[in-house]
This record gives sequence, structure tokens and C-alpha cells, in this order.
Amino acid sequence: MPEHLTLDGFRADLAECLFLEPDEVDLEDGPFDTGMDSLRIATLLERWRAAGADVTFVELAERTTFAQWWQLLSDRREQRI
Amino acid sequence: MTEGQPLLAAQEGIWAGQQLDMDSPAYNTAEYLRISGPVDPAVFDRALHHVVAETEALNVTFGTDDTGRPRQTLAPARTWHTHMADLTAERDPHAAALAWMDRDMGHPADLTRGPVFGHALLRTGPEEYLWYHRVHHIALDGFGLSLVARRVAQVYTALMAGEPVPDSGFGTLESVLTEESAYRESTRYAEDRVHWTGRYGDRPPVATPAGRSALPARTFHRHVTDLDRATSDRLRTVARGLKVTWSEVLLAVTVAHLHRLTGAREIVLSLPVMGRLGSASLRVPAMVRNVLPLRVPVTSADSLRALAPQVSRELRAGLPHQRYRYEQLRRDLRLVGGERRLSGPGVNIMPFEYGLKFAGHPSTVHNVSAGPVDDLAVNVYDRGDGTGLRVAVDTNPDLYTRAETAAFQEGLLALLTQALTDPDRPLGRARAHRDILVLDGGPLPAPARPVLSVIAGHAARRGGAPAVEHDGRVLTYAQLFGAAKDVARALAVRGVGRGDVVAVALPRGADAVTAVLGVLMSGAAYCPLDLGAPAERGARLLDGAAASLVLTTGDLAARFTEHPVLALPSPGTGDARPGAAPVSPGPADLAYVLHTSGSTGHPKGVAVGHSALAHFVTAAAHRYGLRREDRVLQFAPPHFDASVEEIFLTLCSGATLVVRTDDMTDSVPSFLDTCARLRVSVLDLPTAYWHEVAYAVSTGAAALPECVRTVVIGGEAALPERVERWRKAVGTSVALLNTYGPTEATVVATVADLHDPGLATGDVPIGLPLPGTRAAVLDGELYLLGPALADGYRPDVPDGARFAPLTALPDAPRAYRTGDLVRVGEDGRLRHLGRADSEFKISGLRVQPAEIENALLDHPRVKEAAVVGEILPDGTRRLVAHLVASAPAPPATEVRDHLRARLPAAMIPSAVEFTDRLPRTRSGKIDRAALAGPPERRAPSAGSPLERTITGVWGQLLGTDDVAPDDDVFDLGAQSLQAIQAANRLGIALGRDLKVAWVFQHPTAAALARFLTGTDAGTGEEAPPSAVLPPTALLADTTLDSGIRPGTGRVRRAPRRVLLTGATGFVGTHLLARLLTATDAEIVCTVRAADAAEAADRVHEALTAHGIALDEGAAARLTVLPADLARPGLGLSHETLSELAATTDAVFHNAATVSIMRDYATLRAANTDSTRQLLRLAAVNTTPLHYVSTLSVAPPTSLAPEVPEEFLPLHGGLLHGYQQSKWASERLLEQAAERGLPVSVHRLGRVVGPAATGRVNERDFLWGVLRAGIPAGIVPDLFEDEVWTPVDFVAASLVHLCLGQGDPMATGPVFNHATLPRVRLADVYDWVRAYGYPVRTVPLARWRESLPRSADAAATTLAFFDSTARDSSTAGATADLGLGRVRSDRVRAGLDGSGITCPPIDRSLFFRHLDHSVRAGLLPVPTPRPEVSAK
Repeated sequence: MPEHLTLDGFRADLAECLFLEPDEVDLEDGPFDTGMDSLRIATLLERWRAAGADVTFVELAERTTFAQWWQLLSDRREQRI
Repeated sequence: MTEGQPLLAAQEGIWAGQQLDMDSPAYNTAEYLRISGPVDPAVFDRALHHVVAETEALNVTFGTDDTGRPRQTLAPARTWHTHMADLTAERDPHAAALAWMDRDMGHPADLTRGPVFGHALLRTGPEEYLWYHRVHHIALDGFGLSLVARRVAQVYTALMAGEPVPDSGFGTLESVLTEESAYRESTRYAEDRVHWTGRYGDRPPVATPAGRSALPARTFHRHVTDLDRATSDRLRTVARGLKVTWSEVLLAVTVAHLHRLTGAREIVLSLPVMGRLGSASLRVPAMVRNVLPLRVPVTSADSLRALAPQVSRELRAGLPHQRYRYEQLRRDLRLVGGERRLSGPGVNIMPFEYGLKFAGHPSTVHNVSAGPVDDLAVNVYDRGDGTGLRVAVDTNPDLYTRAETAAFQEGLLALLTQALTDPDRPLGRARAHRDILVLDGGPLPAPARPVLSVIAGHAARRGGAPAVEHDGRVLTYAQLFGAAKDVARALAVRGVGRGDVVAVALPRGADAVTAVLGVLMSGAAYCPLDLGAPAERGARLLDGAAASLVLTTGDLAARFTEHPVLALPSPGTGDARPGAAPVSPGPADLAYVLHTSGSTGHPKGVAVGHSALAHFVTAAAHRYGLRREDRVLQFAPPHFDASVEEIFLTLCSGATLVVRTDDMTDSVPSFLDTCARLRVSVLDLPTAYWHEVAYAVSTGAAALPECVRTVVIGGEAALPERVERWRKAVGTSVALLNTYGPTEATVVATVADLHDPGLATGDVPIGLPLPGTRAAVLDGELYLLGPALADGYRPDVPDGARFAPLTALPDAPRAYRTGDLVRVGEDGRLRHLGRADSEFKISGLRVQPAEIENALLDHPRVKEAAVVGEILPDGTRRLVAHLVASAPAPPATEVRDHLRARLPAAMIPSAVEFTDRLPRTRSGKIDRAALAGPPERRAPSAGSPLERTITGVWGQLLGTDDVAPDDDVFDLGAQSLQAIQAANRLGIALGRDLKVAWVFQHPTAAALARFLTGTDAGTGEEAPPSAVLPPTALLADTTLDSGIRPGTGRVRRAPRRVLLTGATGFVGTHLLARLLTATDAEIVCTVRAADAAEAADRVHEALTAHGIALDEGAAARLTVLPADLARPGLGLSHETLSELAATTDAVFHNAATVSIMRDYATLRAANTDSTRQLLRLAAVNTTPLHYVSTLSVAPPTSLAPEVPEEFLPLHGGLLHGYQQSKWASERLLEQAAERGLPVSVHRLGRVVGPAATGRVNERDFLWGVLRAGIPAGIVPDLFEDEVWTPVDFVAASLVHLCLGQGDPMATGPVFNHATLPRVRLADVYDWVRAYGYPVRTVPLARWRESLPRSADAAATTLAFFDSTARDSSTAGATADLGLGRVRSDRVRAGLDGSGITCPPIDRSLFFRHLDHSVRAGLLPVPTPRPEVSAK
């Protein structure tokens, strides 16, 4: 399942977790405020690592907006390419 | 080094928890990593030390500041070592490793000194290592552990590769503290608080399978099961389908399972959360974890598909507020202390596999302990090897057994499997499994005929036969029928007839019978009114029943001004007015409306039809065997349904109804005499009154008249004890019919023959249904069916649903649900178990008060008993027994001991109250509602001195003067920290050890005072706090540390080294001498002294003082060690202790501070803790430990007729600190024995001087009495007789039993040294007189008053008597010393053939003692000189 990670895919993943439609995801929201828990983060992490993003749980968990998550994922993805 | 910084909020919670039980190891958390591959232990050790050094949280110690607030100090951890062991030689290396871990987990961490952690590297295979990591929860949470583990892997890998160790990246504790205080100042904090206090402001009830709460225990039960891979995969798939996480599925199934177990409509879970998202603490190993409450409404119809999204929503609503501390929320909601709780069972999901590699070698992580378990916790771990999940259910052993733990888990996993297979299936209990049992009374013996036509038949055929007799007046059937017809006509004239209800307000008597029949003849139904009830109630019933008219007497007519009244006798309406003839009722018409007090307390009118009445009368008359010759007593007033039975059964049988007069029940004897005079043959009595009759008959106070052939009882459960009394006194020739039936099923539904000789003792069935009636038992509850059921309620009431089709039976017949719990015995007969609504759940048990009441009534002095369950404001559940006892009332402790022998612990009432009479309802039943009322609040100034001390301390802490003895301090806002402060201050104020846990468990001053004085039973007795230690506290104080277990096995051999304590005492010197002569061993004596020289001097002085000389060989084998048994480690160095543990072949623990004055708290270190320490020492090498105890630990004869050679349970006779400290030691030894340690206990009586020399024990209490009394010419009457043993004999016996050929352990560890005949005090005083001292025996109080206070020798003795007199002014010392029969079979058997004997303790031996005392100047020279002294 290591599909290439795109912003749309990222939004879709978040939307699935948050019971939202992808276009309803506000990237300025924080994981904490949306009721994200560590198991959800771990599940997403597993998926994104499989898609080639070299990130850790701590790195995701310490960031306070989804935009920061995407920034991190984009950076790490680029490093690998 | 940073000085004393505050704790993180989460740490404070842990710190407070640890204060509840300072020695508890429960806060140790641990995990181990299994490393597959070679490990270099030295490098690993370096890595561990490197990581520990850089992890701040592991380099802390804890203390308190001036205000008692905890502080932590950052300082490098004390020197520590990694435990390295190669276990590959073990048969099961892995099991050996786990066993080692288990032992290690049993050691409590010392927070004040550190280190708070421990490491081990255990080799379990050629290329397999377990790295074990234990940390006190105050330092790290689960995430913190993972950070440390990750770092250790990183450092080890770098070291192995020879690369520089990368930076840890750890943040500082300071940064977490700063973040935390910033949070507390933020608007976010305020918002979070609003969220939680809003969501939980209603303080939802917390349902758990145990049904109660307890403080966390020191250990927990764990039941582990692995979910196979298919189930684990299915879990994830189903979760995805439901758009939830798999953890939410597990939460939902746990909620459903708890609902199934508790029936609660809402489950409140406890969810540990990491609490680190978006926080600096993500990079700081620390204790940050929080707990979220999670409340989920649930019904048994909920499916997983319905429940899981609900759980998910609730969880996601709470998660954004997860930083708000759980402890703070409890404070906000005032849910601290007592049994208050915010949330119940925990669900802890740890989905993270570390996936760590150690120099390239993979590892898996395994949890050992997640910390203390409050109630029950479901922990879910990833197994880490790709095979699925592991589910570990942890429970608090104080609340659940191992079996219950396993059953919980099995049920949970079965439900999980079911839910995963079919997510749409309801998760509640499936109805298909309900068992239903039906008992059928069989067909009626004859068709049911309407009662009026049967009575008319008797009037027509036997008109002259007596129908009713009352107070000398007789109505024949013809007269009765005629008078009734008159009434019917009079009613018809008033337009009253079929479909109407006529109230009958008449006292018991012929007129009432006439009126009842008259109303029925008019076609109307009658509704009897209770003339004793308040007018307002009467009026309400009249309105409710829609009565058309009130039938009453002229005197009473004025009461019913609001209603049409017909006064009897009817004012001569004559028989005119044709056209107004009464119309007979049909079978479908109502016969009567009778009011019962419903469970709600509001009376309900039960409407019974003619058909039901006819069925009942036909069935019951047949079943009771009534004959026309019978004379049946009408006992019940008309408004009781028993009167229906009495009137209609009698009249339909053509028998005579004998109406009782009001004065007939003045006393049972006069009642029975009157029955005899009236030639009553059938007595129909309320069970409550019959209980009195049975008691009186059984004691001979009254006799059952010979004319009585049948007694029918009913109305409440018959007490087995009274049934037994009755059967013994009356035999089985008189029929005793126990009837059961609600008014709704027309008087009686089931009947049992209690005179059946085949009934077992204590068995009181309610029998079988009457003919025509069926009984169904569903879920233990009784349902009644058949034509005798009432029509319903008039007016209809909301719980009319009790009449409903029973769908569990074919065709769903109409049934009445009784609310009574029953059981069907093997004989097919019903047994009544109690009311479904009076069942009280306590300590996880369903308790029927009746069962406890029956056990109470077994006590010979208990006359009446009522047990009620109470739920105190703090949520604590307790049982209270209200008793009426014959004087003198037995002490509450005796009552509870009596119960303990008969019932499980949870069923022993925590309070026993004596009263002159029990409150009763108007119908004569015990008024439980009145008993269950809460105690009145007393004023703050009220209370005993002890209560005021407690309220005073709380007042200071809470800053208020308004703390009353019955106030729950946690309701007043007390917090955990304040409870800890209160315990400390109270400990100082009262001069005793006071555990923090006690303050939590007894949140009112009154309760704490009761607990501290051991008068928990509410006897009102108040002992001075210093004199009496609470027995329960004693129990709590005598838990043997779990680490004390048999160590390496040992070879039994002739002892080469024996350790003896207390060698300088009276018994000790003789024991020492005997050990030296009877063995070749070195005897090591511990002596309290500053140095070795002083210690040696003390031993030699003691030997000399007791006239014991050692030969050179013996003296050479004596080693004296300066020690102090009251100090930790016995005041010996580590090396000395280890050496003693390794080389000692036997320990004789004889040392004790003997003081009848001092309280337990001050004797505990020397007398009890010393035993604990010596056990620890002896356990190392499984060395036998022999303990010298005292017979004064035994209960007095008033509590136990016999003193067994067994360990003794806690009892009320342990009044003095010395007794308590010795009992406490025995309790420790008992636990040691249970664990397989070789111990023995030797109880001695009064040890007197050696038979051989005549010396005396000058410090003995009795010699003190003689020395004070002989010069004054008076001696006190102290006790009847006592066990005396000469010291040389007891020393020889003891050494022989402990070291002789036989194995003392094989015959049981307890020995009572009481083989000699007891010595009578009267004989002793006679010997004193014969010796030449003219003494008078006087009562103790007189002796004390007459004796000059200055009598120096008796100073202690007098003080002792003063102290005992305060405890109990009448019993004096007698109660302390009087023992029942002392068994000493084991001692006798052990000495058999040993040649060790003792001369009798007689006058000649006693004279030798007196001779010695005179020689030593202890006693004056007697005048005249004794004539026999030289013999």
C-alpha cells in the first residue's frame, strides 16, 4: 500500500479519522483539539511511513497543527526521493 | 543540584497514593524487553548507567516541606548495580526470570533515599536476554519508560559500534513544570474545567462488578489471554467498518460486558491517557499520565454498531480536555474519600510496539506491572511479534478473587468474539437462556361455588348452628344470614348495589361480619377501613375506592361527614320499600377492595372479584382441612386480608368464627388461656405474633391448649429458630401451616406443613401452591397465576404492570409478579428468600437481611433482630443490626463473633445497635424504613473528647470551626493532601500510629473515633485512646511483608549455632542455661547495650541474679552481641545480619518488653517489629524460629470456652498493649507458617520460680501483689485459678520441643505450656496464711483503696489496676485473666518419654518460694514462725 503521499491523500486520511469530508479538514486545526488520540496518530503514522515518509510518533505528536504535519511529511518525503 | 522543587501534578497524585500505605510496593511499574541475540553485559551495564545519569526523573528523592507538601530533590542516584544473572542452567530459564522479577517487584522503593528504579539483565538462552526495568510510578509513566528504553537501545548500539553516543534529546523536568504552571494559568485550563465539571456535575453512580470500592492493594491479580491473529485482524477490520479505532471497539465491548454484569444503565470507565500531545513532555521521561473518565449510557439492546460510535464520540469530546487533572476534577466534584468515585474499571490500551534493536538485535517489550489497581483494569498490549494482541485483566485482590478475574476476562472475550462476528446483535443478556420453573397446585377438589350461596346453604340446612361468637354473644347461621339480609336491604334502599363499593368502618366483631355479608348480598363490594388510621388516610382511601357509602356505627358516623353514611344497627327501615330488593352478585363482580401498603408507601386498593374469592375459599378450606365442628379464632381486624380467610373459610365450612376481644392479646399466656376457654380449634395468627407464642410456649411460660389442632400462620417469613422451638415444645401432632400470599393473589397462594417430621432443622418452606393456583419462578422471582388472582388495583396505579402476561410461558397467561425471591428445594417445595427490593449488595455479595437476622436469632440472648442496609453519604455501604436482647445484652463483639461462625465476612453488620423495641408498621411488620433513617447531625461542639480532637484537627486544616462529629470531611472539601496532614497531626495528638488510609476509610470524626477505639459496633463505650488499640488496626498492622518467604533449603542437623533474644530476662536466663546444657551449640545472645563489654556484663549479672552458674565449657560457648531489637536491622550491622542469617541453626525469640501499662504503639517496635525482623533473617536460610509467647494472647473464657493450640483470630479480649503486641507477633508467625517457614510458638502461663531452688520472679505481677498486700494484711480477690509453670521446667520443655528428636513442625506450630493442674488463688492465699501471714481476702476495689499508695513494691501494680478499672469498672482484672480450658495436648505429646517432669505446685513448693522471699528481704519475717517451713 505504499502509495505516493499527496496533500489530497493526506486530507482524506485525516478526514477518515475525524469523521469529516476531505474538504472540511481545516489544516490550521490541531490534532489535540480535534480529539485525535495516540492510537489514531499511530495508525496514520503507520500509513504514512508505508507511503515513504520517515517520521516518528514524537515528531507528529509535538506539532500543533495539521499544516505543520503536512510540512513535516513533505520535507521527509522529499529527503527520500 | 536543585533544592526541593515541586512535584508535577501527576506525581503528587502518586505521592499521595503512596502515603496511604508507605510500605506498599504497588507503585512499582516494570517491563522487560526480550532481546533476541547476543548481548555484551558489561557494555549494557555502561549503557544503563549512561542513560540513568542523563534522565533527571531517575535522579530524584522526595521529602516534605514544613507544611507537609511533597518536594523533590534532583540529586544523582545513590550507587546502584544492574542485577546480572545467567539463568540458562535453570530448568525453565524464562520462568526463573519471571520469578526473580516477581520477587524484585515486592520490594517497596524508598522515595526519601532512592533509587526509585532497578535494572536487571537476565540471560535466558544462549542468545536471549531479558532486560528488566523497574521504576516507581512517581518517576516515570508508560511513555516515559518507552523513552528510556529507546535511549538505552540507542546508547548500547553506539557503544557496541564504538561510535560516539548521540545526544539524548531529552528535555528537562523544569520545562514540563513550567508548561504545567502555564497551563494552570491559561484560559484553556478554565475551559477544560468547565467541560469536565459540566459533564460530570451530576456525579454519576459508578457501577463495578464488585459493587464496592477499596483502597489499592499491594498486589493485583492478573489474568492474561492472547487474542489470536485472526481475532486481532477481525478487530481492526470491524473497527474500520464502523469508522472507529479498534481501541474504541474494545471500550464498547467492555462497557457492554460491565452492563451485563451490573445491570447499570450507564458505565463510567477510567481511561489512562498519555497527556503529552503538543507538549514539551513528549521528549521528557517523566510522570505526566492522566486519567479520563468516560461515561457511556448503555442498554442490553445495544449492538456494537450502536455502541462503538457512541463511545468514540464521547471519547473525542473529552480528549481535547485531557490535560485537566483527574485528581483536580475529583476535588472539584468533591469525590474524594470514603467510597466516592468518579469512574470505575480502567481500560488501558498500549498499542505501541517499541520495535527496538540492540546493536542490530531485535527485541519485544512485555509489561510486568502497570501500577496499583483500584478496582479492575483491562490492559491491551501489542504482542510485538505480529501475532496479535494480548489482553491482561488486572484486579484488586481486595475486591475480586482470581476466579472472578478469570471469569471477567473470559466473559469479556466471549462477548468480543460475538460482537466481532455479528456487530448488529444486541450485546445484552440473551433472553433465550432464562429458565422458568412452574409449580402447579393441581385442580380444585370441587367446583368453586360463590361464597354467599354456600353460606346460605348452611343457614338453610343448619340454621341453629353457631356461626359467630363474640364476647359471649352468639349468632347462629340463621340469625347471621337474616341480619346480613337486613343490611343488604338497607343498602338497596339507598340505591347501593352491583358495581358499587361500600366502605365498612366497623371494629372486629359480629357486626362487622354481618356488615360484610350484607354488603355482598346487596351485590356491592366491601372495602374495610382501618379505624386506627388517621382520618386523612381514611378519606383518601374512600375517595380512591370511589365508595358510595360508609357502613359504620352511630359513634363513628361523625368521622365521615363528607360521605353518605349508614349506621348500624340499621335504624329500623323495616322490610318495607318493595322494589328495592338486593340483587345477588355475579362471579365477575367485585367482592372486596382491600388496601395494602405498596412498596412506594402509598396504599393501593386491591380489587378482588367473587370468582377469585370463591376459588380461594374452596382451595384453602380443603387444604386446611376445616370441619364444621371447628372453632376458628378471628384474630385479624377486618382491614387485613387474613380476616377474609378467617371469615369466609369458617362460614363456608359451616364452622364457628370466634372473634377475639381486644384485651385477649395482653399477654401470650392469657391469650392461650382464653383460647382454651373458648375451645378454639383453629388458630389463624400473624407470623409476628406467632413468634411470640412460639417463644412463650418453648420456655414454658405458656402452654398451647389441647383443643387447638391447627395453627395457620402468615404475613411474614417464619423464623427457623422459632419453628424449631415450636416443634420441640409442641411436637408434630398439631398442624402448623405456613402460608404465603400477597393480597393480589387473594390472601394465600402457597402453603407448607411445618409439622412435617421430615423437614430438616432450619428449613422453613412456604410449600406448594393451593389447588387451582400455579407458581412460576423466573430469575429467582415468584410469579403467581390462576383464577384466584385479583382483578387489579382500584384505582389503577402506575405499578399495575405487576399484573401482566407472563410471556416466558406458552400462551402468555396473566400473572402477578410478587417481588419475592424464592428457591425451589429438591423436594419441589418453595422457600422464601426475601424481597427483591430489600436485597442489599455489599462487598459484591447479594445479601438478604433475613438471612443475617436468622443467624442473629440463633444467639440465645437475642430476642428480635432487624438488619438494614445503609448507604452513607460518602457512598459507603454498611449493614446495621438492630437488636432487642434479654438483659444483660451481649457485647457487640460477642454478637459479631457469633455471626462470624455462621456467615461470610461481608454479611457481618458493621454496627450493632441495641434497642428496647423494634419499630413496627401498622400491620405489625418490622418498619425497616424507620430503622434505615440517617443519624442526626450533632453540633460541632458535641462529641466525645476523641471526636473533638479529630474535628479540631480537621477544623484547623479546613479553616473552619464548623466541623461536626458526623460531618464527612470530604464533603466539606477536604483533599488528599489534607487527609495526609490530618493523619500526621492526629498521630501526634493521640500519640499513636495513625495510617492515612484510615482517614480515607472513615471520613467522619465519629466513624474514625469508633474505629480507633475499637467500638465500631456502636456500643457507645469509650476507652481512653492510649489504652486500647483498634483490633482492626492491629490486623492491618500485622501483615507480613510479602518478601519474607522460605529461602534456600537447609539441612537439618544438630544445632551448632543458636540465636537467643531476651537472655537477660527471667525466662531468658533459664532458657540460656538450658540451651547451653542441652546442646553443644554456640549460643548467641542479643542484648541491648552500648558495646560488647556492657552486653556481656548484663548477661552475667542476670545469670548471677537468678542463681545460675555456668561451667567453663558452657561459658565458652556463650557469645553476646550488643543489639537493639526495637531498631531496624535489630541494631546490627549488615554484615552481622548476613552472617547470622547464614550460620544460625535455630532462633529462639524470647525478648519482649513486658509492661501491662504501656500501649501497643510504644511496645510495637520491641515486641512485634522484632519478630518481623527476625523472621526476615530466619527466612534467608529457612532457619527454624521458636517464639516465646504468652497465654494472655488468648480470649477470656467469656469469649471462648477453650484455648486451642492453634493461632488465634483477632478477638475482643486483647485489651492491653502487651497482649496486643504478643498477639501481633503470633499473627506474623502464623503468616510465616502459612508460607512454609519453620516456626513454632510457645505460650506460657505465669512462670514462677524454679522448682529446684525456690527462687521467685521478683518482677512478676502476682509477687508484686503479695509484696504489697502481705505487710498490709489484705490480699485482693483477683481470679479463680491460673496456669503456673516453674521456669526450669518450662525452659527444659521448650528446648526439648524445639530441638529434640521429634519434628515440632510436624505436629503443628503452636504449643500451650499448660500441662500442670491449675493453681487456685484461694489455695495460694491459704498457703500464705498457713505460712504465718494473717491476710484477709478483700474485693479488688477495696484492696486498692485500703492499700497505702506509698507501698513502693506495688506502685506498678496499683497503676495497672487503675488503668483496668477505667476500662471496665465491674469486671476488673478478672476478665483479663480468666481463661477457658487450655489445651496442651501437643506439649504433653512432645514431652512424652523425654523424662522432663515437674513436681506439683503445692504448699511445700510455695513455702520454698516464700522462704526465699523472706531470705531475700522481699517479705517480712512471718509471726508466728511457720511450723512447717523446714520441711
